Amino acid sequence: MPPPHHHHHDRAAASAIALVLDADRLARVLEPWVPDAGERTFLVRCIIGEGPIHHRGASYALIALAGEIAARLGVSSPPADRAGVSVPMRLPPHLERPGVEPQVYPLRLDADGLDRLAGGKDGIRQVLTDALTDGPPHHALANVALLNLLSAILRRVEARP
Amino acid sequence: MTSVTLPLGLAQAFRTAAGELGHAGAAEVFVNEIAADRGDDGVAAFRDILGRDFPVADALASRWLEGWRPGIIETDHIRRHLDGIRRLVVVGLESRHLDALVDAVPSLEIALLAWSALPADWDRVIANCGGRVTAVDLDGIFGWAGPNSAVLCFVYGSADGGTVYAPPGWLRLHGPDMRLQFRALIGWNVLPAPFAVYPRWFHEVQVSDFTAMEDA
Repeated sequence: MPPPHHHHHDRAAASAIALVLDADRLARVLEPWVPDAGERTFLVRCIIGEGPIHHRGASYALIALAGEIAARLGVSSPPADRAGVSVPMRLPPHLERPGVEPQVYPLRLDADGLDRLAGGKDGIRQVLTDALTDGPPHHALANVALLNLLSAILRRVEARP
Repeated sequence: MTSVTLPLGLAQAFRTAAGELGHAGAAEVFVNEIAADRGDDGVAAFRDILGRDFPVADALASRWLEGWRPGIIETDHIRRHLDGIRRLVVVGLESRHLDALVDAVPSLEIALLAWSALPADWDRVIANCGGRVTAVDLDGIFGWAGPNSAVLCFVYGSADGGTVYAPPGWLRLHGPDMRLQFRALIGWNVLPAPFAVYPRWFHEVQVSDFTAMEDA
């Protein structure tokens, strides 16, 4: 008898994905980086309220799980002296002006974790920072939220005896 | 049909007024004046003449004939959504509501999208706002975006079915490139009542496209 055909998975209905997105949980995970409640609500909308539904679901799963690890390791808030890299609001190309700084989202990238990937390669932090903060805002901000958690988790793990 | 006659040129005058005061604001002025001069029959005649071309005026005249009267514009419920907001882009025009908001939130920087389906003298519209409102075009809106910025759009119609009617400018504003450049997207429903005629001039959009929706 031949082995049963392996199905990858059934395609979930968009409404089913929307139902499992817990905005409060995501807001709690973001709180150490975004203390202002209004700004947090805005970022939660950016990450799981807009963009393709599969992205919302994927971003939620990754960030919520990283948040769970951070919580279990006792990661609380990021060090106050970490300025981080801003995430710009992208203008349409015809409106970009030299020397005019774009507005930025109220969440900065803690790029510390990227240094662990350097392995002697110069400039990796800058290159990957650009990759992480480019693209549509729902994408860039989910990247930044996750990387902030990973950087904080790495610091916590490395500080353990 | 009623036997009351109204002045020739009424439609032309209303079109100009609606462009510079807003569909609801102009309808209030016209219905008030016509009712004072010709009574309910005059309001019914106004509806017969203009109703199918101007759906907001039609709905407002209908409400008037049912006993409704325009009241003071409340802004507290809108202000609640402006917590932490420094700059506001207004889409669509309802001059009475805009005036009330300008007065209610002195610290707010306000821009008005100077573009609509109806012709308007935007210099005249802006001049009526006491120096508090700046005109922006569709590109200029990006200059007003930011984490402390919001959009307020005047909308119309019953939201019972999960949709309302928005002016065409909103269709640009809620594109995926722009939605996430504003902290809040507020709908202010100045006429939360069903339309009896086809709501030309406006576009049916989802209530869920807004982060907040408030009735006038």
